[in-house]
Amino acid sequence: MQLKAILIGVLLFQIQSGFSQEGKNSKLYKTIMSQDSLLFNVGFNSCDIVQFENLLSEDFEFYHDLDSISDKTLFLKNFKKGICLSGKSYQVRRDLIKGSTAIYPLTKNGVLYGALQTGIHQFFETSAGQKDKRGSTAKFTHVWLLQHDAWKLARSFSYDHQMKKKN
Amino acid sequence: MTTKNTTPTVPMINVIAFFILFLSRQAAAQNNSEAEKMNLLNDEITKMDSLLFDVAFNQCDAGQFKKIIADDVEFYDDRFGLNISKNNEIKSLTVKCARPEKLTRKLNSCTIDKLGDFGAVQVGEHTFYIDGIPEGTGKFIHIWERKNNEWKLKRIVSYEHRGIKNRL
Repeated sequence: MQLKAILIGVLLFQIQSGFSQEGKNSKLYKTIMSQDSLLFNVGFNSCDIVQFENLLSEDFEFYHDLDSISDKTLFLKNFKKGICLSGKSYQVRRDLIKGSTAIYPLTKNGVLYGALQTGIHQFFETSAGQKDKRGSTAKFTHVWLLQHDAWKLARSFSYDHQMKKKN
Repeated sequence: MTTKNTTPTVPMINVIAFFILFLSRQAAAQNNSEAEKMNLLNDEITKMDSLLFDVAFNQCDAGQFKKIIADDVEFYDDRFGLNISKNNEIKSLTVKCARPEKLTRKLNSCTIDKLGDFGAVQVGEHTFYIDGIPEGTGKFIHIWERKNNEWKLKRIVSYEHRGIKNRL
């Protein structure tokens, strides 16, 4: 009977002490948003491959709804030979849709080990002197992990890609 | 003469009408097959969710659990850390099932999106009950992978666990 009470107590405590979405002023929110900015505003939008190499974990996995699963090597190869191929007539820009992001802490026994980021982003094709061309919109889920005190993107799920109707 | 002149025009109109009908049917068929594919995926993943929780988790069917969990499973939990061992997953089910109180899970809502032809993303919210009394809710992300025509649960993120304070 005593053991039962303890077990229920432990279980209740664990359920009660869950963690909810981070406020926009929290340290974790700001940290992950700055990682997001490094990844996309610097890495993706300006084809700075070094940013990607630094920010992706060694065992990075990328799941894409219109493509397949790729590891870090394949992802970087596709990135270099795809949207970042030099001499292309246009560039690709990713915008995070304002207010679409939520960030949740991932902890182990009260110690932070990662964060979950969910959101919606919008892609554009840009070329000098021309109006940006709207590309697809997609949902994404990012699992960020703290590895040796540095935040690394470990898992990326990119799905529900949709082309918005042109107005 | 008149009959000779009118007869060819009628089939021509028919041909055009059939052609238009054919085109619109083609378009509709394409939309239908996309919608059908999505419906099929929805049904399959909903069934897998039910097998995983209504059968394996709630009724402590470890065999079913073993069948569904991928060998290379990764479980990111917001309270208990990351688990990358299938054996540990099975062990925690065994431990849960050995407890005197009954822990069960009910799906509240979820969305299902495809990942190419190889998988699906299921995002949802569920409630956990102890002996039938709701104790807490949580959100989850499941990455399902189709392997040899069988669905395996490959990646799990379990987050935003909240307690229901009906006992305190």
